[in-house]
Formats: sequence, structure tokens, C-alpha cells
Amino acid sequence: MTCREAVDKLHEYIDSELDSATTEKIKKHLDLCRLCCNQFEFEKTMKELVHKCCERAKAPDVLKKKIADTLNL
Amino acid sequence: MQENRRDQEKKREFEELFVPLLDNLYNIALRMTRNPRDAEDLVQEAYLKAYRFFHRFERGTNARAWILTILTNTFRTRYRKKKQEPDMVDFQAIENFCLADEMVKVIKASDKSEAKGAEEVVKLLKDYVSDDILNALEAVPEQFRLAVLLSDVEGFSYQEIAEILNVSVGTVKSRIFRGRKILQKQLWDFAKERGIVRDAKK
Repeated sequence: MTCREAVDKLHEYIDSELDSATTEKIKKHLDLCRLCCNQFEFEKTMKELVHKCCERAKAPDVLKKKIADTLNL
Repeated sequence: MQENRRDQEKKREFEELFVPLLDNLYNIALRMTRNPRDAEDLVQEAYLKAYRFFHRFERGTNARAWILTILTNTFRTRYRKKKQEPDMVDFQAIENFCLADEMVKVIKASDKSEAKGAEEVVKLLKDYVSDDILNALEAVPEQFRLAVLLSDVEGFSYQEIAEILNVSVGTVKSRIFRGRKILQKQLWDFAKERGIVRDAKK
């Protein structure tokens, strides 16, 4: 697998969208290629950061209450 | 009497399935509407609709995906026109933008030795505080932002996202790709504005 082929599948790889054979091929390439490995690592971190900062907020109690009240839960 | 018991049963089931998802939905709604008041209204409306159409929910399927579809559709019909969305991005200009590469250039410029690789760049990336990332997300146009959120925050597969957004898997793929590029370009612009980094190209 070339760098170009690996990078073309970067997003699908970090999103776990690839079949196991392709995933293995990319893993092998990443073991050998530091540049690609860095880039993949970077994108993965970016995804994790987005995840982390979008789960910090807590639904306000007043909203919980409003929903419970309207649904009569 | 019979009716009453069925009603109670429905309520109990709804509560069990969907009340634990409240924080999750509120977070996504915040990122969609970009303000707490609208987020609250949006979540409340989604819960009401979900309850009203609860009979259409197929037991055993993904409850989170189901209510998120309702949330997304409600957002799109009701809130999208209310607030000014960021302008469409000239995507060609940033298609080849790569935040990792830009950061490597900065590291190389400040440190004459060989760039040390992933750890260095990842460390720079982590210097962004959550607020930067949230602000950058706000600058991503809605259709791209939703795809990125459903993937990165909710962890849905492309197929699931395609179903939620009612578009093809190919479209999901391209929206995620573009959304991430726009997000990274935005983060880079923040860093430059604040003089955290100098434009390495100069």
C-alpha cells in the first residue's frame, strides 16, 4: 500500500468503516511509514477532542422537569 | 382501566429508553443551535414528538438513532432559518489544507532539529482548549457540522448517519471529510489570529 492509498482511506479508517483486510493493510503501512502514522494519529486525536468537548454540558434541571411535566412521567 | 394500564406501561417504557439520553441530546442540540435557550426548546420538542410517535418506534432497534433523527429533523425544519448560518465555505481553497502539516512546519521552524513526530504535533493540537474547538465547530456550515457531530460525538456509522440525515453514504463521507477540513482550517485561523503561531508559509 502506498501513502496515497492509505491517506485516501484515512477518515474511513479512523471511523472504523473499513473491512478487516483493508484495515490490516493500513495498519501494516502505518507501522512502516512514520509520516502517515503521524497524520493518522493526528486525525484520531482531533476526533477524540471533538467528542470530548461535546459531552461536557449537562441538561439543565429545568429542562428535565419540563419534559417530565409535559409527558406526565 | 385497561387503557390506563397500557398508558402507564407506555410511559414507563419511554422513560427507560429515552430519559437516560437527555444529556446526550442536549449536548448535540447545543452544537446544532449554538445557544442554550434554543437547545432546550429543541430537545423538549424532540421529546414531545418522540412520545407522540412512540408507537412507530420499532422495539429492539437503536433508540438513540431514532430520537436523534427526530431531533435532527426538528432542527432542520424549525431552527435552521432562525439563526444566521456561517457562509458556505469555498471548499476548493481548503481542500488540500492539512492542520497536521501546518503544525509540523511550525515545529520545524522553532526547532532546528528534525520534527519529533506525532507526539509533538498531537501535543500542539491538545493546546487548543475546548472552547476553541467549540467555536471552530460553530463556524462549520450546518450540513457538514451535523455529519461530523454524528460521527465524532455519537459514534454512528456512515450508514446510520445516512439514514438519520436521509442522504447517501457517499454524501456522508464527503460531508465528514469536508467538515473536518473546515474545522481544522478554523482552528488554524484562531491560532494565527492570536499570534500563537506565525504563518509558516511566509
